[in-house]
Amino acid sequence: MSQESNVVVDHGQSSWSDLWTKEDYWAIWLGFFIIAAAFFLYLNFSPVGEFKEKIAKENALMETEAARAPFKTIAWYKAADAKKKLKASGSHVGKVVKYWTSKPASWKLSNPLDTFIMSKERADELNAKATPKYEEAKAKEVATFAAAEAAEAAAAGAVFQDATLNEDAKAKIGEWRAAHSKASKAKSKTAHKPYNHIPSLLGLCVGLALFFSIGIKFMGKDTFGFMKGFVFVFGVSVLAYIMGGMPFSKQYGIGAEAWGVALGMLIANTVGTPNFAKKGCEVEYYIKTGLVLLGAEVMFNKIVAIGVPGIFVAWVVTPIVLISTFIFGQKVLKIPSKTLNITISADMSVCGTSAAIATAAACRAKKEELTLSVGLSLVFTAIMMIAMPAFIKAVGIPEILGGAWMGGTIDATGAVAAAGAFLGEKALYVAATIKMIQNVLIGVTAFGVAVYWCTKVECEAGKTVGWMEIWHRFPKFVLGFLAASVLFSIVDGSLGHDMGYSLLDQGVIRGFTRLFRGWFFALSFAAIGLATNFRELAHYFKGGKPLILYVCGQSLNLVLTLTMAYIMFYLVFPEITAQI
Amino acid sequence: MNEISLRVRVRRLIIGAIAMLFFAIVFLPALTRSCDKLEYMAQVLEEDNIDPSRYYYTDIEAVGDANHEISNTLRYMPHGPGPVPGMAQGQ
Repeated sequence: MSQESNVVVDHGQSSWSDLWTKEDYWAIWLGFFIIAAAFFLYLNFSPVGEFKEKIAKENALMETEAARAPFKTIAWYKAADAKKKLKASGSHVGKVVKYWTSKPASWKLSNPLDTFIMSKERADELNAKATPKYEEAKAKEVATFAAAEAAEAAAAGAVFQDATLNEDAKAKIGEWRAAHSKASKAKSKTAHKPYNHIPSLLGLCVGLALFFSIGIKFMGKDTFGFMKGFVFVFGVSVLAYIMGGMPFSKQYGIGAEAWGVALGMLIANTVGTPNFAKKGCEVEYYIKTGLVLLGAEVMFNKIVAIGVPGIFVAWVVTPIVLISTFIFGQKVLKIPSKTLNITISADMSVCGTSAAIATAAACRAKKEELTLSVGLSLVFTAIMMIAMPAFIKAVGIPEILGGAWMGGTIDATGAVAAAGAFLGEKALYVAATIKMIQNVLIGVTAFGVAVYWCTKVECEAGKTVGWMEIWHRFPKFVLGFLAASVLFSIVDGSLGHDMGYSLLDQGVIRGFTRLFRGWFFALSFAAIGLATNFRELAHYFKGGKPLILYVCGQSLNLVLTLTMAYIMFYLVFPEITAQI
Repeated sequence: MNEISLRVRVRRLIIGAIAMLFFAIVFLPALTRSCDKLEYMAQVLEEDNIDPSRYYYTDIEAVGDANHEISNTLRYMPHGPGPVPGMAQGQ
């Protein structure tokens, strides 16, 4: 994907100087610098002791309640809510980091200025507009809570031995939870605050230009030229964020990455990308650094998040679909480019854009191949996100089965959450959790593809490749990606689920590394667009083979995932399904 | 690209930009408003603050909430005395 050769290239030799002259290593150093900064800030400036104390108290309460009744009681839910509020990103450090990495805000069509600046008057106006809805939701919450309390007391009065009273209590508590959730969401719409993103965006632009230019300098490239070009790429990324932030664009899954490619291609194929900007189009550099940070979000502990059923749905079906689709592409469709084939296969079977980025970088796919894969995924994600919940409702598939099916098949995680929410809260929980488990497969996929490419694809037929040769060819940033994943998995495991959630998930990751990763991928897609020619892109779509590959692979995915989800959630582990 | 004059290229850029804005500001909203289900979906997404364009689980708050909820369920699964609601119907 580099400007000169169009592919990610590592030379067949290694030397110590690679550590400070090669892009792969710089991606690792920069990625780990951000990770180290995140740990330093959140471990030193978050109320860790207070979190521990509160978590222990709430867990003891949940244990007591779990032993008291055969269903989740009101006290059980309140304890869970209290734990959920403990987020390191809510600390002062979190707020400062959020400000300096903020993207342009969502563009409501009524006032485009909201993307950069919101005055106090405008914030008050929006809050006042949302208040009646919140008050209505709050009143409903109060009413359903009273009914839930009465029903639970009745069930408790019968020492939980009356099945009808238990059923009634569970149903009433469920209604209260739904009303509580609606009231919380409505409340968040009344909390607009004034902001001005212009200084923070300017600061971020300068900061990131300096940050990346360190590596550029050591790699022997034109540092000042890069910084000038970077400003242009950053500007396109900001525009992409603005377009991707529009509610109707988001609804169809067209985010900043897709708009970055589209805007970049528009410039490149009309007036042409200015020469000075080309020096800032360091696609691989941004992608690889972003991928090292993405590694931090690939935590292997998550695969047990929904127990054994989730592992079977996400970790057994997905690799079968990935490998079958790749073989189908090679043997039946005879797709000329193996890198295009594996990128589409991973994109379709694992988790869309993120898997496509990781796989494309691991097998050194061309930037057009990545663009094509992401484009295909975008179209099918939009269709499936709307069609699947409608189909599930129409044929009466149970919510949990439907959620598991959508979680295992729809590509993008956001679209999975959207489709799940469309179906119901239980469907959302299951769909989102299955997708999260599947997201973790990115680490295995990237490593497996990198090894397979080094040992099988990039060597002459019939010849074996020695360990040193594998090392020379191996894309080193994948090691940084895996190291970050292992580090975060170990830390998450040692902290325990609740501290891991409060400190790591809702602090180090969501409050730091993820924010930078988002920007790095947005920059890389804008840079891809600025370096892409329409005609070259059309060449890869010749014969419609990528489309056929996607459709056939996704069809297999749909059948296998539905079958496995039914077996796991309804035949083998019905007790888990009953309690979700 | 060299043989095409700057004026033509700038004109193409402007037309392309207008087409993109038309797509985002006119076409997509019209598509949503054309169908009740799509309009309902837009409303659910707005209320639940879900962004379907995000691609990784850490980008979506709802996924963190779901993980938290299910983890609590599995670790503190109710096992008190009495019949478990939902099991009888095989839900």
